[in-house]
Amino acid sequence: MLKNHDRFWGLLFLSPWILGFLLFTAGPMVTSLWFSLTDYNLAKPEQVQFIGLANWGHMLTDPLVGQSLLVTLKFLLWSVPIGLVFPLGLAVLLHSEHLMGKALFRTLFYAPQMIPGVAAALIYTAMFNPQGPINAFLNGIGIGTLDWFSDSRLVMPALTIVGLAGVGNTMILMLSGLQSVPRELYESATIDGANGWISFWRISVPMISPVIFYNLVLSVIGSFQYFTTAYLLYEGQGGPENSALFYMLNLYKEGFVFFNMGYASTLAWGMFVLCMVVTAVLFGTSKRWVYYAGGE
Amino acid sequence: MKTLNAGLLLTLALFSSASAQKKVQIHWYIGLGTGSDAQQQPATRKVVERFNKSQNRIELVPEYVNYNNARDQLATRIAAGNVPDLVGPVGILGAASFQEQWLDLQPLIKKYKVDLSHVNKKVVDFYKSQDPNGIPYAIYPSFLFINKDLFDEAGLPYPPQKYGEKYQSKAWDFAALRNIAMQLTVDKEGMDASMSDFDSKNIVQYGYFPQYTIEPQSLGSMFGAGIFAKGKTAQIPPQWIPAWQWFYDGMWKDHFIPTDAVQKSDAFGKDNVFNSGKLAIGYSHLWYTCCLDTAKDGGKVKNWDLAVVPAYNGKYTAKLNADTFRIMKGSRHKEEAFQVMLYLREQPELLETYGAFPADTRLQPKFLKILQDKYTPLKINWQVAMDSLNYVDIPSHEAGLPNHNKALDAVNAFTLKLMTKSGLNIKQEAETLRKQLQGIFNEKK
Repeated sequence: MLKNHDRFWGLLFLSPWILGFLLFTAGPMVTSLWFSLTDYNLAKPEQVQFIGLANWGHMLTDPLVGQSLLVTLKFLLWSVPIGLVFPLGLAVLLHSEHLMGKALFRTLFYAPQMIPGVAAALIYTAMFNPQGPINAFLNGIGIGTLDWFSDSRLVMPALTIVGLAGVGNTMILMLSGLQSVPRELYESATIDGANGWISFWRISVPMISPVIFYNLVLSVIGSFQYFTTAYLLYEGQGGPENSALFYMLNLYKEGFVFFNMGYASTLAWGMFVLCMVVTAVLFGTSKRWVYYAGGE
Repeated sequence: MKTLNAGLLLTLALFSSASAQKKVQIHWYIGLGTGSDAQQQPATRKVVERFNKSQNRIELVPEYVNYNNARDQLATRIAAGNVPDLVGPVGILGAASFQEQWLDLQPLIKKYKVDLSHVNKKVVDFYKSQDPNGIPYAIYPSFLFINKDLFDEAGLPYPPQKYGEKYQSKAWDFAALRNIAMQLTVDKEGMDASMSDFDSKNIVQYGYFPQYTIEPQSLGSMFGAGIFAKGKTAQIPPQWIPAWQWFYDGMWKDHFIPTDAVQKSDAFGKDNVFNSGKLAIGYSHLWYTCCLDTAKDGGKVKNWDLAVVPAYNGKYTAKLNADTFRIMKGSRHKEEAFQVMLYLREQPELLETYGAFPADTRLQPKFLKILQDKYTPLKINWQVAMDSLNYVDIPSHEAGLPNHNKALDAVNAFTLKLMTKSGLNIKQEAETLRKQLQGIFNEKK
């Protein structure tokens, strides 16, 4: 039981964070909720009017919101599975007892993570351009030159490949998960006649399922918030035929290009609600496939 | 005695500070166009200091804002009710983002009897056509930049340098431009685009590209001035459809214009195609000299010059970009801001530091000499630029539209579509754009 005295000191030490949270997080959130009920335009603040739920109604019928959600979901379906399987594969490789120079490979695989997002986007633009190394390789094997960022059909695969540069963190987490699986489990399985593949599916994957789940939740939220690379590649536009008009890019344009801050606030809250629902669904399903050795 | 002196000094200091406070402060927002780069600031500071020394009524306070953030910052300041008084220099397009925020200068121009007799009449008309109109300050006529070495290599005569002149005894029009641009487009085997065995997948040199001016309004205005809106009604000027078709066919059918992917590639200068040395004819404005490397800077275009734009149906249109200073409607000291504006537009070192071509004809020779010195030993025929001022586009291709920022976004998306997708029906696409623009115009309160 906390004494009043302890509670006072606890709150006092927490007060900088509480104040910061109220001023810089909760305050703007409440304000943006209010904005979402107005037609607030940054360049015409004197004309602001309360419009009730009109922005929310518009959001449900706005074709650009539909398009941007579709683009975001398409990207999610491309990038999340690949963004989990690829680092898991690398982690398994690095965990293998047959691999020489593990430290070197670990560093090499992690190194692209250190490149800032803006620089990475510029580097990838050069790599994917018609005279870049990727097209040179494709030309070499007879496929020919592909307009990766200009052909609306290739935008998603191109952005997914760009995203693979940032799998270093996920790989390290997967690797630490694999390293924490007790060796006795593999030994018992070997005695029972299990081969490497069965051990991987029946022991490794279930044992590291909390790590996979953690990365899944982060990847899904990250995909919903995808912005920087698309913004840089297409100079703030939505790419060819809006094929790279991600939800957050559309939100940014509404708020900071068209100055429709009221509607942009609505879009922000829409995304917040969507993330909450998807995360809740993921947590709901986790009971069926995530294994916690010590219970939840 | 010491106490007395100190008291006197304090009284004097208080008095002078009180008189300084009486000065009206004019906040000058720099960065929505040019002017906020670190190397431009010393010249601006000097002008400001000189102005402030000459004044006991107005204090000019410059506020430098990085160009990339200037738009957002100005919007935030308007939202906060803390508007600057004076903004500029800013182009027509940059100003259009803040429609309804600018003061109509006409009454002040009349009141102060601003002398515009030293400005080309067409340029005065151009500024007058803007809504709200501005005072002529810096102008950037358009014309063709030609890489003479590539013409020599192909054995082709250079395009005309005088309006009205013929090319190879025929009219200098867009058919002629297409014709020579195809001959100047070369694949890796040395075949040109007019030949039957030309390999359009392996082009190493292009004939033509509108350098940094690929917006549909820019492309369209080359065939004749127009605007997307008549009041709140969306329209596509009829001459713009053949202009877009010409441009589109140049990319996807005749292959003398680089597509989006090519023009952004490293091999073709990453957007700066003419500067890569692999483009024979670039269409742009005088400001493009900003980005055209000189021989001493290792420029790849060794021998270049200017040529006049081609005619469409016998009529020339050389669209104009123009900068000016603007006063915000919300300024509390509009008249003082106007006085500052009049002062600033007469400071030649500002024009020099901005690299801006003066609208005032008296200042133009000096500017052209500086430009010529930059590219010496080449002898550039700058008269082409001067002559282009007689064919400016009124209404301006950069004029504001209803719900401007959103309309401009749709228009830019249209360009990207043209540059990234083959097989389009331009008439249909134009109609789709018109409907889309009408929807956006209707959203405006």
